[in-house]
Amino acid sequence: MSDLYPEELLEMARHPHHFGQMSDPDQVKTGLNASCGDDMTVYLKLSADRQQVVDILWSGQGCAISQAAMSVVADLAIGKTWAEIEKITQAEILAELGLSEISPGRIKCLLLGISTLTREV
Amino acid sequence: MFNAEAYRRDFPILSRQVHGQPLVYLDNAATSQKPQAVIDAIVEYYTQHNANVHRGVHQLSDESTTAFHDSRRVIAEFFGAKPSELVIVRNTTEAANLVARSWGEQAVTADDVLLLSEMDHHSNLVPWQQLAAKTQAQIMVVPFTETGRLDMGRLQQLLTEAGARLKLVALSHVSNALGTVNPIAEIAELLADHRHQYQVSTRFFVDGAQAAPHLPIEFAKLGVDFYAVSAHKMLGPMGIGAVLIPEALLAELPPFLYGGGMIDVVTTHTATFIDDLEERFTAGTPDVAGLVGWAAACQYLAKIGMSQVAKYDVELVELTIQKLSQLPAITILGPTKPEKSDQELGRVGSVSFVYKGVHSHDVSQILDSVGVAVRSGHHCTMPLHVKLGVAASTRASFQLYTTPAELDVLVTGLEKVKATFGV
Repeated sequence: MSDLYPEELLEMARHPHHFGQMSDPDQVKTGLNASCGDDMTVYLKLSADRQQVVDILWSGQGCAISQAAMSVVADLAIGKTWAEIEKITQAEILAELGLSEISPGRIKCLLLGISTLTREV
Repeated sequence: MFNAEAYRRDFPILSRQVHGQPLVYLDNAATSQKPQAVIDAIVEYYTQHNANVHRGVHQLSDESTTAFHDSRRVIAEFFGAKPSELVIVRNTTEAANLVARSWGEQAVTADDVLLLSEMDHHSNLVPWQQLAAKTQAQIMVVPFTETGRLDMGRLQQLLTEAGARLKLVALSHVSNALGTVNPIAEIAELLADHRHQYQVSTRFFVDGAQAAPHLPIEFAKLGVDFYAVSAHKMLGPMGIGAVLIPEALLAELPPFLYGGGMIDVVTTHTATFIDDLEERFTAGTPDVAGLVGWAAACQYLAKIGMSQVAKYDVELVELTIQKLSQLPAITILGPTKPEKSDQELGRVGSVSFVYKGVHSHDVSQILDSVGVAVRSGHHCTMPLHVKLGVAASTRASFQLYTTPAELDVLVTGLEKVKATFGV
């Protein structure tokens, strides 16, 4: 097994968490890594005051890292307020994927999910 | 016998390792590595001759001016062109922008048609789209066939459809994503007939970025109006390229960039521009070291012989197709066999492929871990990838220093993809 692709990451890429489309979302956000051909759509259920993310479903296509990272982000973000979500770090996402670092060429893949989720609409 | 192993010794970077493994550099369509002769030429220029060209009445300026003109001559000769036909730019993208601005903005009107190609690089689409937006000209697009060839039947229909309105055909000589060699001379003949039939001055812009590293180019015989090349893809330095334009056409074009070097008489409010074609398109201090390095690259290639380089490249492409065809998870993009049995393959430089169930970034990352450098993504050809229904692909691309043993390392790396992802 390659240490670039630890089992946690591969498992999450094979069986993504919170994957799917939401029929009645409160908000939909889309993200794109144009140079990779990766795209991401995030469906959100929000609290009445819209300050807290109650539920997330997402769909998209892309590399194992972008897909697995989005699963991690969904796991981490559900139940949190936007202020708390803003504090999610790259290191936290990496750790959940079983990685200690990421090459410069793959940072955009890693961050596609979180940047889509936190995008201003 | 083409001795790639011997040529490898001329390229110092090829002896380095990545991730503890020998470098297998298969990203040559993005940029090629540089032989010691090119590196030395640039170092020698800066250590011995550096001074600004022209009008400096001193020894170094004379040496630099000589190096500038000698290099221009060597590069032009390499492409079968005259030095006066060589307009220096930074790269092929800038070449297309130069033509779109200098020629396009004065020649193209709302009644005109610009004929582009579905297989082309963004650099040969976007400048023309911008020109069309400015002039209200119409864009028509030649598609490619299921086997990855330019659809010549459709091209001929579009020529008829556009008729006297056809102002420009812009096409790559070699596709950077499919490797397809387009029949430039044949299309140039069609356009010659078209001009005659409709009494128009349709221009032909050819992006030669992926052709120049692998094919002999005889500009004078090609019958094209603009032929763009980049030095860095053909063993030369980055940041320098050219567009070849026949003298008669060049003489009609207004300057692209204005400023020092290209003027005749300047007052505070007006200026006239020099008639000398070389100088008219050389605004500002030229990249003399870049030219010197590029000329060294041309000399290096010319010594081996471009017909030998071309022959060896086709061997590498055919061998790669053969090896990758044995891997069930892999689909090769572009032509994999000659159109007719008595014809050549008509593909050079690269083999792009899709690994079923694994994104090209992940394929490339695993290949990198065994020392293999390839490119992944859409290779600046989004319309092509959309047509093929794939978001991204992996591209292995070659140079004269690529060896069959390196292709075996590529295959070993692809077996590791299977081991990692289980598909």
